[in-house]
Amino acid sequence: MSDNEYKEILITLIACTVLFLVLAAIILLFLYLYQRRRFIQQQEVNELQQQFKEQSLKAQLEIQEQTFLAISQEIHDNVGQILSLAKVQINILHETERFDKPLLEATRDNIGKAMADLRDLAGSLNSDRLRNNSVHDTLFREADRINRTGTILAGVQVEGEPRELEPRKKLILCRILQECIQNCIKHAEASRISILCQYQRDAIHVLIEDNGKGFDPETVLQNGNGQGLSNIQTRVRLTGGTHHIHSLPQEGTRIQLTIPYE
Amino acid sequence: MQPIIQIYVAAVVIAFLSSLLSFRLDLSAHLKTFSLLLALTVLTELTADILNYKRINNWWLYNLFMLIEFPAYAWFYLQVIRKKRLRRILWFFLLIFPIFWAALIWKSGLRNWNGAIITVGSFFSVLFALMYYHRIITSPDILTLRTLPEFWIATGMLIFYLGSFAFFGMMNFILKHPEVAARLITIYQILDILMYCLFSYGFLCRIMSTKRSLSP
Repeated sequence: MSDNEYKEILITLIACTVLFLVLAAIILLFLYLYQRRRFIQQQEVNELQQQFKEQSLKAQLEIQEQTFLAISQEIHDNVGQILSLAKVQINILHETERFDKPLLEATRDNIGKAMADLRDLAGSLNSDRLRNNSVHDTLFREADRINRTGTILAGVQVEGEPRELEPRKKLILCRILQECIQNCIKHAEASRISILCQYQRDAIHVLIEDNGKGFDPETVLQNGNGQGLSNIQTRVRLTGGTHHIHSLPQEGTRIQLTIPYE
Repeated sequence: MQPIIQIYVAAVVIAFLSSLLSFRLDLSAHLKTFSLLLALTVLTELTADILNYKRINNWWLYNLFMLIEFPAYAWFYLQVIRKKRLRRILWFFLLIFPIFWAALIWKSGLRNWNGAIITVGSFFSVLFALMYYHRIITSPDILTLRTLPEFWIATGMLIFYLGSFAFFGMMNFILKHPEVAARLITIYQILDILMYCLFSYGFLCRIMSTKRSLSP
């Protein structure tokens, strides 16, 4: 074999070997990068799940806190007043010598009303209530609570076939709704709140509208005063849903929430 | 014995000794089987070296070894690959390769080198390694490659058999031209050493990960 032929064969063989080794290196590099990307994605998912868990716990605590506040107000403003009235009526009955049947009946009605209110309050203390109730049940209860204050008129409309949300998602959604309603009561100076709850095919859609003074969401967030708004944003993101806030000064506020069932 | 051959034999022995950990750590059956294959490799290489030293033809030994080696690889991958279509390829190889081997040996004789056997064996070894990578990619769990013995074993095979593909195919030609063989053999010995080092790491990484998980 001539020197040139020998060199040609040697170079070809070495080139083939190098090429194959480069190919092996590319395959390994691809595998490594692919696995690393999957690992990072998995980490992100885990972090999101962790945040979701934390937020649902936080939401649960906030709901409990709000429930306690509502109960204390209810006992003070409603049950307490009725029982005080019943006590006054009993005192009158005690001091009156003649048998006053209408007053006795009124006293009995008041005590019965106080008992019914207490039963209702005891029910709201039950932590399973939120879990067992649907989203629109929570909305009806909130509207009822608002209407009882007498300052704002709240109405709830439900459309579609009610479907169940995943419990933790439901908890977070209820907390978002409470936050929206609470903001409306506190800051909007509204006289009317209307809530539309639509059970759509893949998601639950809630629209909360008020006729209050409105605000500029961007300015509120930029000024750092929008803790409630930022909470809503974070929580909606964790549920995998979307939200849209439309509000202009003196034109009321409209909040749209869409939360997927799965 | 040339120094590179000595290093190579040492690498094979180290890989075998590392693989013994699979029995101590009670690893999966396929890793224990692989350890047995490494034991057979050590025996084959040592016997081949002795025969070579005594100037006795040792091709028959390598030919017999290949009959066990490549089906053993297929068996190894059969234990870790779950996809039906890929398993069918492995079963096909397990059934066909011995027939293919017997036909070629019958034609060329046991004492002669037949490049087609190792070329086909190498091709399928590379294919099996790629099939295993496919399993890693499609696995629902994210597997940590660093502590995965099968990954290092597959990687060793991929590098060696892909890198040696051209060499094995032209082995008869190369051996007839010592001036070409002298230059090339070192490269392939290095690849061989690398493969056995990766096998060793594959078994050792398991003991390292076990220690790490046991430490407080």
